[in-house]
This record gives sequence, structure tokens and C-alpha cells, in this order.
Amino acid sequence: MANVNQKAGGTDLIRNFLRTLNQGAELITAAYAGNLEEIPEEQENTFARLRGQRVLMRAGGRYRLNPNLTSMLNYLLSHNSSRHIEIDLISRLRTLDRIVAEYLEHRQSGEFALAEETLSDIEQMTFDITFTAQDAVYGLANRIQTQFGFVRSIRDKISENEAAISTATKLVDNFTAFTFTHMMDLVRQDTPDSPLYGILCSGLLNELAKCQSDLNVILIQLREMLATFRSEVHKTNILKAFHEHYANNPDYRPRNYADCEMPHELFCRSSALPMETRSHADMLPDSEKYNDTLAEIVKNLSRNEAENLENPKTLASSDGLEQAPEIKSEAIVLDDITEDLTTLFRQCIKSAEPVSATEFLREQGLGHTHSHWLFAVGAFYEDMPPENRKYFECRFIGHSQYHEILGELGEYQIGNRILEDIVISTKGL
Amino acid sequence: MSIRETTEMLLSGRFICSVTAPEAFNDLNNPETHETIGALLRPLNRKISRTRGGNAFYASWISLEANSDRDAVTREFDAVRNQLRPVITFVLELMDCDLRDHPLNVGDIVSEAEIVTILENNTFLNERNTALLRLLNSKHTNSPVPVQVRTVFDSMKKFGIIAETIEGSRRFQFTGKLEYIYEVLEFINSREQILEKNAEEQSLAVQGDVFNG
Repeated sequence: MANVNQKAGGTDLIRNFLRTLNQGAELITAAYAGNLEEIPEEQENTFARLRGQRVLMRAGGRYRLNPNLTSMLNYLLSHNSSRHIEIDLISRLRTLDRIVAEYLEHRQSGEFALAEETLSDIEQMTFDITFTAQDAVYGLANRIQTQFGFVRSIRDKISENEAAISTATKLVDNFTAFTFTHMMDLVRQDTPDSPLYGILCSGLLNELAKCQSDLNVILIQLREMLATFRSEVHKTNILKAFHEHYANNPDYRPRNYADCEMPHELFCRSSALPMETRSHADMLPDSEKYNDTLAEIVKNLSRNEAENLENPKTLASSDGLEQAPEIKSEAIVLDDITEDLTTLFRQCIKSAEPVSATEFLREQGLGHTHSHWLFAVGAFYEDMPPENRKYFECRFIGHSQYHEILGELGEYQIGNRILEDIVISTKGL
Repeated sequence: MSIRETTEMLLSGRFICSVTAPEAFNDLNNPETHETIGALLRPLNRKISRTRGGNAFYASWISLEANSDRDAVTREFDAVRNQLRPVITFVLELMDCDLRDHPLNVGDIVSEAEIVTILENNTFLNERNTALLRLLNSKHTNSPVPVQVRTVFDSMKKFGIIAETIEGSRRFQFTGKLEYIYEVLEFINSREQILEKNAEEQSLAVQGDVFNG
């Protein structure tokens, strides 16, 4: 089948022609705008080529574009600036039916030359329909991409969005008018090897199906965008309403929504954790592999311990600063333990041998936490008056944890001393 | 960003969004790392929460059995409640400066210099800015416009509503906390019908005007 655009000369001529237009773009633009009064010397060759192609001529003392090219440029410009989307495909379906009927008449009456010409018209018509459909879909997609950028206000965007949804819906209706059954009815009226099947079913219907599929996606996006725009309007309304409400009711304060058994998730936001995890031995950059273990350990911590870590009483206290709760609780604990500490040091004097604080704790069956006991023994020794301390010697037994960290100023180390025991011995007694 | 840093950010009570911590935000958007971080928070009685718009993450309490946790929630609520009015006023003021009819959102950029220029040429907006300063209990209500605007922006930065795009540039981006504030307003409105009350008040005011000639 002959291509409808096949004219004498073929594609080489077209390529040359387009090249000339491209080279002469500056002159063409100036002539279109009516600003071309003189051809610059360096453009004379280009002008000669344009004149040879009957693109640019000198007439009536002025340089003028070929009217066909002017019409083409006008069409492109109007199409580019227009927001109109052509959707009326049904009327073209009627025209298509009419041309196909003509074609069939020519075939039946043996006018094959006329039928061939009409076939070209049918093909041109299907291209026209496809082109319009693709253009409509592209136009809608472009609006989504720019979020209706040609208007600024959200209310205008909503109007445009609603109009686009309406256009897309009508376009879907138009697409559905082109049915396979209808096309096959037309094809069947021709001979079995009819070229109509290729043009109408394989060509037109396939292209329209692709457009329809794109259009369905676009419709979904348009509806989502509309919902977003509407939520923005709602947000603005709420902001303005609260602003007004505050202005009209100066004493207004929202109710305390955090004051209920289990507040809404919005109001359960946890504020800062006071614990300084950055320097904790188990929270070093390379310790992520221990995350599971850490999570397991933390899970088994008693509620009280976790509470103390997260919210030290010193922060939560509303009792003022007269007596910090942290100090108060420490004093109570030391009062409780002092008697046992005195017994430990007395035993050391009595036995005149080194005494292990850990062994003492175990043997005496004391109820103190091991780490707390060791801390208390150390503190008791440090707090002794110098005249008493000189008779004792404490050996701190344990191991150190060191971690190397690559800091901005090079490598440095941080360490923790893990205390396991304190051995007390007497001297000079 | 490491899981540790993201977890620490959540524990420090920060809102994590694409503006304040893009890498941590990506970590939390990734189902795998989200799950790991969630597992780390769980023993600490915390979970990862997300604003409905999906633009901000924050840590929230799983249960409030401990009184200290409940106290923390009350303190946090009070802080947010006190920020609501200044933030609303600030956003509406910026909307009017930009002649826009839709609110600012996460990622929107605002330049302090531009706002100064607008306020210097608009008495009405300038008065509104002074009113905002009064809400913030600022002593700069009689200062020159650039100082006033700077004070407002600094306060909003302190609230965590905006973050400077480049330190010292005085160009700011709205953070995920703004989305959180919008949701808080939405919640309060759903309970107290502020929108409806306001419409009624306006309608009564109009009727009053009509009847009073």
C-alpha cells in the first residue's frame, strides 16, 4: 500500500528542506515577527537557499514568509498556548464510517482507482483520530506533571483539575465508541484480503487502546491530585479558623488531650532520653552487630531501672531545688549499708589478713547488689579521715574496656573500668 | 546513616524528615531498617510513629504505665499546645506575604530577606508580625523590621518548625514538625469543632451587621 505522504522526491528532499529551515531559523523567526528589513551579509547564502525552497521571498519591498509556512507556525503557536483539549472523536467516527462506505461502494462498482484514493483518505482519517487522541492524553499528562502550573491559586487548580477529570472521562466515552465489533462489521463488507483490517483494527484500535490505558492512569492521578488540593484547602480553613478562634477567645487553650488513660498516638510523643548513650561502651559505631543482644538485655531490665534511666527524678521533680531527690535516695541507701561496711573493715583488723569485699558479701549473706556494694566499699574507704585511712590499703580488682574511636583529630580511646572486687588489707597496725 | 544514629535521633525526641535528616529519613522509610530500629526502641517502651502525610517520623511511648512516662507526655503536650498559636500566625503571615491561598508544607523554602522586604513595604503585615512577636513574649516589638523578622524566624527555628538550608544563609525550609502541628490541629478540630464554631461565629457576625443596618 502506498504511503499517503509519499510525494515525488522522497525523504531525501524532505531532509534537505528541513536542514535549510533549521539553518535559516533566525531569518525565518525575524520574518515571521516582521522584523526582517535587511539580510545580513553573512546570512546571504542562507537566504538564497530559503528563497530557492520558496520559504522566504522579497515582495512589496519587504521580506515575507511563504503563507503556508506562516499558517503552519500560527497553528503550532496557537496549539502550544491553547489549553483546549480536543476530545470529539465520535464525530470523526461518523466521518470515518462515511468514507469507508464510499470506499466499499467504489470497490463494489469496480472503480478500483477511486477506491485506492479513498483508502488513502481512510488512512489519513485514522491518523488524524490517533493523533488527536494521543495529543489529548499528552495534554492531560502534562497538566499533571506541572500540577496545573499555569494557574497559581489552589482554588483555580481545583477547578482546572475538575475540568481535566471531566475531559478525561469524556475522552474515555469517546474511545469506547470505537469498538472492535463495529470495525469488524466494516471490514467484513469488503473482500477477505481487505486492507481495512490492517488500518482499522490493527492500526487505529491498537493505538486507541494504548491511549485508553494511559488515560486510565492519568485519571487515577488526577483524582489523587484533586484530593490533595482539597486537603490543602481544608488545611488552610483550619488554620484560619484556629486563628480567628484564638483572636475571638483570648483565653482559649485546647483541652489537655494527654490527660487520659491512653492518649492518642499524636500526643504520646516521647521527648528526649536523658541517658548519654554516645559514650556508652555498648553503643560504639562497630557495635551494631550486638543490637539483638542489646535489645534482649534491655528487655529484661526491670521497669524501675528503665524508669530511672529515662527520667531521673532530678528532672521530673517539681519540689524545687532545696533537696535534690537523687542525693536524697543515695543518702538513704548509704545509711542502710554503713553498718555492714564498718563490720567489713573491723573484720579486716581482727583477722589481720586481706579481706575480699565480694567474699564478705557472700559469706555474710548481705542483701546488697554486688556492684552497689563494691561502690560503697570504695566510697567508704575514700571518705575515711586520713588518720584512719593510712591503716588500710585497698586493691581494686577488675578489667578495663577500651575502645578506639577515629575522631576528627585522629584516633583516641575511651574506657570503662569494670570493677570485680576490692581486697582490703591493713598496714602499720 | 547508621542505625545507631537514627535511633539516637528518635530517642532524643527529634522529628526526622527529609529536611532535618534526609539519611535517617531514608532509613526509616526502608522497611528493613525501620524494623531494626523499631526492635531497638521496643525494650525502651518506644515505637516509631509517622505523621499521616508520611513526611515525618518520631518516637512515641508504647504504654504509659510508668508515671514518669506520663509526666513526659504531659510536658510534651503542654509544649506543643503553647506553640500552636505562634505557628498558626507565622504560617498565615507567610501565606499572605506570598499571596498564596494554600498553606506551607514540608520542604517549602522561605527567605528571611524577602520577608523583611515585604514587611517593610506593608504596614498591615508588619503589624501582624509585631502581634506575633507579642505572642512569643519578645522584647523586640519596637525594634526595626529586620530584627523583628529575625527574632520570629529564630523562634520558629527553636520550635523546630523551620531549619536553615545552609547555616548562616537565613533561608529556611519547613520541617516535618509542621506536618505534625497540622495533624494536631486537625485532631483538636475533630474534638472541639473549631471550624464549625468559627463558621457559626462569622455567620452570626454577618447577621448582626445586617440587622444593625
